[in-house]
Formats: sequence, C-alpha cells, structure tokens
Amino acid sequence: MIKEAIKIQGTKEGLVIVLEEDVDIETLKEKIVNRIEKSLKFFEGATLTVRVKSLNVKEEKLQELKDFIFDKYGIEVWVKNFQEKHIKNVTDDEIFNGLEEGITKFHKGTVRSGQVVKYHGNLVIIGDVNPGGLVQAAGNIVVMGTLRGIAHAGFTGNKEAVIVASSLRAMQLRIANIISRAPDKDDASDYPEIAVVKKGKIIVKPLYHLNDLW
Amino acid sequence: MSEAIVITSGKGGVGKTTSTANIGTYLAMKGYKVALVDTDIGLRNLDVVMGLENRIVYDIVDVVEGQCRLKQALIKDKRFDGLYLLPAAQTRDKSAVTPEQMQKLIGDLKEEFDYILVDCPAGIEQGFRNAIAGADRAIIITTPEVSAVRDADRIIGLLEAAELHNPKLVINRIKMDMVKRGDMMDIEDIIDILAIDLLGVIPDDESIIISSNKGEPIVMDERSLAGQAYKNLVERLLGNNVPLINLDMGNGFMDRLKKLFKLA
Repeated sequence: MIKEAIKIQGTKEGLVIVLEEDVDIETLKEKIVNRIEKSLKFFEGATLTVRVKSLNVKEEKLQELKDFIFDKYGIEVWVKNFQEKHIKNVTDDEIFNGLEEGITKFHKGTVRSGQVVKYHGNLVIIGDVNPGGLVQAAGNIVVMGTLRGIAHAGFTGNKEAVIVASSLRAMQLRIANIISRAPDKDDASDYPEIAVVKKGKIIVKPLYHLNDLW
Repeated sequence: MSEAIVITSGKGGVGKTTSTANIGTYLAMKGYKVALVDTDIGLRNLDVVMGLENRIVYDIVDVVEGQCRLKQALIKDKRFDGLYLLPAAQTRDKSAVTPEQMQKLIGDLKEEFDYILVDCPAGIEQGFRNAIAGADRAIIITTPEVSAVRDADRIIGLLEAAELHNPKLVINRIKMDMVKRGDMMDIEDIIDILAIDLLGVIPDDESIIISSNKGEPIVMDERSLAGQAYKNLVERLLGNNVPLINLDMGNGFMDRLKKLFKLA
C-alpha cells in the first residue's frame, strides 16, 4: 500500500501539511498546489504550515514558491522542520525515556479528589494534589505544592522516574510497578522531599541530601 | 450461611458509612468473616472512616471490569483478622457498575465471607439500585428529623418494590435531652410512621466524629456510649435479645458510668 505522502492536520498552528518523506522543491510545489486545488475553498484566507522531514533547497527557491502560492491562491505558506514530537506521542506500553530532557506538561491548579491528571511525559503540578486526586506521568512528577493524593511516576515502566513535592504527604507513591503507602502514623515533614526507587523499593529523602541519591 | 446486608437511608449524612464501619468491625471482633463493600463510587468515604485509605490500589470498578481479581482489591483491615474492605472507585461514577455486576460480585463474596455489608450511597438512583442488588436484608438508617424520616419511608417503599422485605431500622444521632423537651422526634413517633422493626438507637456522640476522623470505628472504644449502642445493635442483628440502653442523659446508669470513666 502506498503511504499517503501528504497529510493535512488541523492544529494550533492552523492547517499543517506533514510530508513524511524527503522532497525537492518541485515535488513540494506540486504537492502543495495539488492539495490546494483539490479543496480550494477550504484553504481560502488560511495560513498553511508545511512541515517537512528534510528539505534541500535554497532559501530564495523557497521564497519563490511562497510568493507563487500567495499570488495565485492568497494563502500564506510557512515551511518548517518537522519534529518527531509534533505528531508522536508515547503510548502506554512504551517506556518513556525523557526523564532528563523530554516533553513536559505544566498543570496549573489543584488536583482535587476524583480528578486524574495523566500525561505521557514529565508532569509538573503548579498547585496541590488533594487526597483522592491522582497524578500519573510516564516520566517524573514534580508537585509545586502539597502532595496529599496519589502520584504515579514512570507509569509506563521507567523505574528511574522520581517524584518531588514541596510538601510530600502522599497517601501512596507509585513508581513504575512499585507501590508504597504512607505510614499510618502521621509524621509529615515541612521541607521538600524526593521519592526514588532504590533496590526495588521506594524511598523518600529530603531534597537537600541529593548527593546520597545520585 | 452467609448474608449480604445493605445499609441505606435515602438521605445523605445520616450515618450510613459510620454505621457500616461499626457494624462490620464489631462483627469481625466477634470472630465473623466480614466484607465491607463501598458502593458510593465517586464519593467514597468508607475507606477513610476505616482508616484504610492509603492501602487502596484496586477498587470495585477494577473488579467488575476484570482489571484485577477480587482478592487483589480486597483490603485487609489493619486491626482485625477476617475484616476486609472492597473500596469504591473515586475517579468514576455510579454508572461504572450495573446491578447485574453487583449481584455477581456479592455472590462471589458470599463464598468467602459470613457477612457482606454494603454501604449504599445517598439517593435513589443507580447507586442505590447497585447497592441493593444482591442484598438479602436491608438496614435503614434515619435520624430524628422529619426530612430523614420522609426519605427513609420512601426507601422502604422502594425496597419493597425490589422484593427486599422486612428492613430493620436504626435511629441515629438521637439527643435524649432534646426529645425530653419535645424539640426532637421521639423513637415512638418515628416507629409510628415507618412501621418497621427497630434494630437500634444510637445516641448523638461527639466521639463518633473524632473516631471517624482518626479512622478507628467507635466500637473499638470501650468507654463510648455510641460504641456500646452499636454493639447492642449487632447483637440484635444476630438474633440475640438485648434491651435498648438507657440513653437518658443525666441520671442513667450508663451515663454515670461514662462520666466515671471520663474522670478516670
């Protein structure tokens, strides 16, 4: 089966054309024109972003193409490099490897009882996580507030993931498939803490003892 | 022979969850194998009252959806052998479970346990229908308020329609001094309206709030009058003949006893 060389996606950037193969300027022009011709009305007045895997053309050639399309159809074209992360998302059975550097979601606000914030990357909560609230990330979890609910870092299987909270009073901590629960006696601390996996168990340490951890 | 008992009320906040925790705990203290089932999906509380909240990994929805085995979801109590909790899910709602699934679940639990206590959510919608599915008996909790009694009456009607006959009544949070002054409905008044057997009367007691917050059922507190009332209630549930304790505040024997202990 021939893979469709040209895909149109509606995104935050407006209409995006994704070209999954290497193209030269002639093919690019042909494809864009074809696509516009096919549904001219749809594109009228729009901004079109073309993402290409690799493009070996000179800047002036590209400008020529842009001008040509703008003059003919009144459509502004942007050509950008396509990055994997724009279309690719880690799936549930794929271990996330972006712990040092990877996609990250910033969640603003309190995660309340019964709410779930799940992300296939690293997760930063700017707010508290209340009892009964659940935060899940394929990568690390950082709570810039009090973590009272359940945090599950590295849920796709990465045991290197960590959980950090300004105040760690979690009901349960989970990293990959390891679970630990809060002690029954309440001995909550007021300083920031970090939870990591050591020898198959989750341990919690103050953030200022980092040298012992790495 | 094992038995499934649903604890329901219609109205919210009258003490279903507290009663479930205490009845279940005392049954376990007496040596029975007991499973507490929280059917209040989305607004679970029984785990908190039992002090088992931080142990939840799987819940009732995971069980009915086949995400885990029943045994994995059952949380063993930290104090009593033979006492287990099947928690509700917090991130879902009542429609995540059907009455048919509940029936099967209760049936499975019956193979393992002597008593299955089902904590019913407030209301008469799907949560209620789920909770009563599979139950053999019902305990109705009410407080001496007109609105709570009205709702209890409605529930009794619905239980009859669902072929759950002979529910037992628990009057919770009674204040004898207010009854004496004529400011609160009397036990007689309530029985008069509802016309079902009285299983027990639980006095209003501040220590219940403390025990719920601590996650320690009040029946574990030897000194509590409410705890004693729950124990008597359980005895009656088991078919033993126990008279109602004297709840008269001021000069009752129990009251004097209580005062004595508090001084000690």
